[in-house]
Amino acid sequence: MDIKKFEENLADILDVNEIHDDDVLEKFDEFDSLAILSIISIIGTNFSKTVSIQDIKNAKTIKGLKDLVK
Amino acid sequence: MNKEYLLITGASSGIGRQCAIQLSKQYNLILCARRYDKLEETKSMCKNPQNHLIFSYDLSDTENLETSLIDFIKINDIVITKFLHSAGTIGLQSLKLVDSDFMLNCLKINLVSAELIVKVLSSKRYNQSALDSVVFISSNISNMGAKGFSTYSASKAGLDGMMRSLAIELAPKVRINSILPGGMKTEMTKDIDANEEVSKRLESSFPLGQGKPQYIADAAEFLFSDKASWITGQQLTVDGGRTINISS
Repeated sequence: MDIKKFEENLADILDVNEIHDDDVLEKFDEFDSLAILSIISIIGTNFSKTVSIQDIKNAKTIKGLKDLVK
Repeated sequence: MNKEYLLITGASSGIGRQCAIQLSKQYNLILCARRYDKLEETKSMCKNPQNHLIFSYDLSDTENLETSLIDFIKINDIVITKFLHSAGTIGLQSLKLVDSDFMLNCLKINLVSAELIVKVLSSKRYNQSALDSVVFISSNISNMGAKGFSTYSASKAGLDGMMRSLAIELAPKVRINSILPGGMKTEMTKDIDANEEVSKRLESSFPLGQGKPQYIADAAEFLFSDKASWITGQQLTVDGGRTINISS
């Protein structure tokens, strides 16, 4: 999966039209426990990386999530 | 807020058509099915036909369903607050003749399309998170078994399983319930009803007598109403007592 597709998936999960690198995850209405599990699943399936709930929380921003899959 | 609508799939005949006729007394409807001419017929039977819209779509095309529905909402500048999934294909087939195409067609229409529609309607981006109530027309076979119904019953049991999980995932914004009708004479069951012996046997198994689509529409009306405001994730069996009848 390329980074553009990853961004599209994040926008779907967060139910917004667009996302920006400096967007803070906690500010999204839809950023809840299910969103975190969905992001972990996407990263595991498409980037073969295992990340924890804490890793997602620590990422803090969209850029932080993108850094996790680099 | 944009004008509010109730979406009914399978609105061209049987239970879906009857639900449209009854629900049109209270709601603006979007009538969805494959055949435009049949939907026009349903629309003309509804109260205030001018208030209702037609979304002619083949639900077996699950690939394009989300984008088509999103476009429909956008073009008409509306929101959809309620959804009744009555579309269904009966898929009666001996196991010996079941193949993956047969199964996938049944599952796409009865099950997959329902979840994809709920996905779009519960979205903030595409429907302003306007969805508040969903009713799936399942079947009393969801919890039972019958020869030749393996695929159909899998689709309906799947629908009810999905209903319960979505009821949790989308609470408290959205209530989701299923109605489990018993067999009744509709367009979908005409091949089964044509067999006199089967038809007679079926008829004698209903303690309250043979059902009518109107009974299902009454139950749907209730589940969409405020009187059901603390009910979610439930299967409501409306089958004239057939599935609790253990007398020989």
